[in-house]
Amino acid sequence: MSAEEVQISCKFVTRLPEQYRIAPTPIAVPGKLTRYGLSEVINHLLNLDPPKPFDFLVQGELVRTSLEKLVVRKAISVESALEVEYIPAVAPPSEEATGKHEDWVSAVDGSWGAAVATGCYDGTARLWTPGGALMIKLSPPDLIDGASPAPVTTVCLLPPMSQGDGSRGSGTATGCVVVAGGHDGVVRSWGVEVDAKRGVASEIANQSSLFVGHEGAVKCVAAAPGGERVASCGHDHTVRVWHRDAGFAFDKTAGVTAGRKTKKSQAGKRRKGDDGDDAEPPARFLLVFTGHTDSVSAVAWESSNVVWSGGFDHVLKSWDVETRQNTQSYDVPKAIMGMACVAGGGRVAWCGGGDKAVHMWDPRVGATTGATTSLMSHTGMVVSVRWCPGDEHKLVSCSYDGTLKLWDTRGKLPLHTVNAHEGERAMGCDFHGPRRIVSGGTDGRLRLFKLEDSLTAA
Amino acid sequence: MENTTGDAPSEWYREEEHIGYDVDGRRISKRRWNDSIENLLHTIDDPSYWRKVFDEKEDREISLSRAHVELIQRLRSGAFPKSSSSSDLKHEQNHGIAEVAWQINHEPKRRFIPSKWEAKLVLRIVRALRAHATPNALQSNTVEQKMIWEAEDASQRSTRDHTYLPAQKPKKPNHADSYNPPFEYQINDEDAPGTNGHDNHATRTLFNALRRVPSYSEFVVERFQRCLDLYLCPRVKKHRLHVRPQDILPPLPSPKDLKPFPSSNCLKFTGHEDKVLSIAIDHSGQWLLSASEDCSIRKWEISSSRCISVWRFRDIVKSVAWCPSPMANTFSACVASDIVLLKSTRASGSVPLLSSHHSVHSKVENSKLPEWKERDGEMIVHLASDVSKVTWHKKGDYFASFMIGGNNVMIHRMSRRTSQLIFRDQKFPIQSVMFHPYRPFMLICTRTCVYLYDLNKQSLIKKLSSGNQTLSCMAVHPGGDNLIIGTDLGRLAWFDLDLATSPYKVMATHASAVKGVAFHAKLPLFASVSDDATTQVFHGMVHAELDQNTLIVPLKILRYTSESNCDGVFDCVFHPTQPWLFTAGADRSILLVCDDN
Repeated sequence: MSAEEVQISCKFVTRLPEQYRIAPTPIAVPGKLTRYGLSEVINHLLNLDPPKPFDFLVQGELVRTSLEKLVVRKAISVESALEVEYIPAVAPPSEEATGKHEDWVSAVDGSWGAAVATGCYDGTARLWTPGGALMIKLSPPDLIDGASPAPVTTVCLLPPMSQGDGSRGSGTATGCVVVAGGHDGVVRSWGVEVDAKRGVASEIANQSSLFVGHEGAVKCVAAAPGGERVASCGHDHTVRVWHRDAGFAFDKTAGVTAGRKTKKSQAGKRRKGDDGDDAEPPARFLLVFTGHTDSVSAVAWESSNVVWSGGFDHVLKSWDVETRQNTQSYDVPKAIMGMACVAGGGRVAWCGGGDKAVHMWDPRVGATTGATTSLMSHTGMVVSVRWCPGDEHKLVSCSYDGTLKLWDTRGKLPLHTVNAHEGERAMGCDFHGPRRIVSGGTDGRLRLFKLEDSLTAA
Repeated sequence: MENTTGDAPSEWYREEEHIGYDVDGRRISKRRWNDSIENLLHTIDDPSYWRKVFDEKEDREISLSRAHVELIQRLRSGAFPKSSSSSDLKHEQNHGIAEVAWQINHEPKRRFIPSKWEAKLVLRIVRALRAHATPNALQSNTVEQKMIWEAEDASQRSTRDHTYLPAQKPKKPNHADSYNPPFEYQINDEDAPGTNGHDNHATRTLFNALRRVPSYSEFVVERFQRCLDLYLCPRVKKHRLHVRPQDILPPLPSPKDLKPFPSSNCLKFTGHEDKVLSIAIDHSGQWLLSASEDCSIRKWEISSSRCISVWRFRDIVKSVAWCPSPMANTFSACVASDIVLLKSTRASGSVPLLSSHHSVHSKVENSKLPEWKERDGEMIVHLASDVSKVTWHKKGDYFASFMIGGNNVMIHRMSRRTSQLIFRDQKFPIQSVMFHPYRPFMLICTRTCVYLYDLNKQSLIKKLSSGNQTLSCMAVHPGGDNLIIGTDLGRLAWFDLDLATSPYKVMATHASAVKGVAFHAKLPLFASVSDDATTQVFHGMVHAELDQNTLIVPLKILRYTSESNCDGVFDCVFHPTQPWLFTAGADRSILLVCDDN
């Protein structure tokens, strides 16, 4: 057997532009070739100089072993030509910039291209330029002088609304909204004017508001894809969905004069839009989902109407905001601590429970319980997962072992491991567009990594 | 012969419908055989059945004639197969027909004369019938007497007769017994004869050749002694049991089937500057409190291991406990002779005490009732003597305080700010105190035994003792009927309160004193920590049905693999909902142990 070399006839196809295509005629390649060998073949056929690494897909799975083993494992007939798709390999992430905080970074959000938001245990939220420069530091507007703010554990960013429908919004046409939640159970939002070109930002006066309702610490906030709604969850076993205008407006001057007594005192907070009116916000702006039986620790939007939540009660639930009902409910084997959802696709990735794995659950597959796929490589508790915008296969996860791992869900091994917070713990990670990953950790650093594939990197 | 299959074995046709082929090549189909009952009836009806032979190849029965039978009998007896061989023929001709007739078996004469014994028997039956006897009496009147023990006796006798007990074999001579032993076996003159095992060789002389060895003078005596040994020594057969140790162990389920349970270290909470003495977790499972020898209490966020606040005291904090009421958000801390009730939302900082002023003369006024003081949100209960630990009642209003080694338990009521001693006079040193989960009982663990008191009736219900051991800690099963106790010798004793006052099971698990035991509130798990720097996790399933015994399975031993000189684990607490275990040790950190995949 060893003397006899197995030849597999392959047909290489790609979706890359014309200059990277080769004739779709079957080529016999040795079966012992791995990804590296196949990449050499393609480079040779394309006459690329310098050579560029490629990744290969066989029946929707990344080639990570030799071709022969893959063919045997998947029981593919080699009588007809094996169709192998090649895609540019992802280059190792290179560190671009770092931003320093005074305390642990608890959460990062890079969903808007112009800025990266971080939450910090010193009770503030920060906005950073993609180059790693601090734009603005946002303190709680309702803070009584001398008191130390409660730690911020989660943050999300609402991009500016477009001109037409932003008339009522606290985020005006040029201003984004930073939403943060923390241990005190109040979700706060700040309206921030961002000048992306100069890399400066300024807080819009009278635009910060409070979302009061949670009876325990807030564990997670997430912005809906349209940027209209915010979901938050916490220790009080509830998931709350807020309209971005539903919060109590907090005026600095009015807050100082009247809002001193308690945070929940009605006098200190007035609804945005009709100053002086102390009425409660209309109920259509606030939904409370009370289906969980333990702390809810993660929430993620699938579309602008469907939100997923998971918590310590080992249940993954999806809620429809329009009908205000729980649509799906699945038992998972562990407590959920972090979660992410592919927009539109509905694939849910979750992590938690002291687990060293990233679990993925695909409602389209229709398993009734448990994770359909588990990605195991981390050596510590995984706390956060995020999907790549615009790529339904790419996933980033961060763990208490201090590393970030970039995954392609078509393979079981991570594409790259970044030792982002060496000796410390990573606490939050996100994509900042498809070309950058950001992470924050207990070393008080926001780290930004450039992510390129092999063709654009050259 | 119809069948033309030749040498083909008949097995080849076993599955087929036919048995072979005739001369024309047509199939000969098998005979349809009757079922077995018909066959049986047929054998009974047919007197010549014994002469019938089944021919498998031809698929038919062949009836043997008398000549055939005779031939077979002759062949079997080893005689000439044919009786018509030449010598027999001659003989036949010589003796004539009469001789031949004589050779045919005659019926014996006794068959033709009536039997005397049968006549006697018939006569007896007739007499019995005339006497209207029962049919049983017609049988022979000799009833067989049977000895009940006979069979067993006989078997015993036979075993005694037949078992051969071999005598012990005499020792074989070795090198030292040789007439010319090698150098290393030679006995030197320095060796004292008494110390050597072979004392008879001590005076032995060596010979350099076999022919120089004289005759052995003690030969006859030794043989005689040996013979005496052989027949005078009583011999007993020893039954040796070959049992593997693992066969004696009870069949326990594999730990893999009992998942989830805490198995791998997940998070480390670092920040304390000295030993962590006590930890407590709140009802929601999100916050952890730890009390340390560095005179501080820290509050941690469990999911991130972040220290949220630090409260500093003027003395060592011996223990910390959450108030179980979900709305109270309060915890108690034992510092010197004060019980401090703090709100967990209080900002970090130092907490003043009352005890510092009074602690000097506290011993004198032992019976004095404590004083309650409230100062900006926190309550301080100042006791007359030092206090080690506080345990809360489930509803969060009452709590009991005691001192390890002390003699009395004090019950406090938070809402009314009253305190009272529960004993007037007790002499035993108390180790641990707990409220029963749902009954108005109190469990008091002393150094020798556990007392179960009814607080309503103010009476002793039960006294549990685990023998001659010093008890150190106690935990009550959330079901309320079971109890585990750790001892200073590293043993765990499981008590069932419904059963005896002795332990249901005692497990020698730790190498040194057990410092803490804990039950999980929801899952069938319990854990123990010890001075030998190990934590052990057990599965303890209590069944609701009374006919099933409690199942206890050791699951995991977690060792502190710390570089620092960790001289023990002091406390362990389970997460209220998840299969997570927190342990506090002397290495100044708290470990979170999570369930693995």
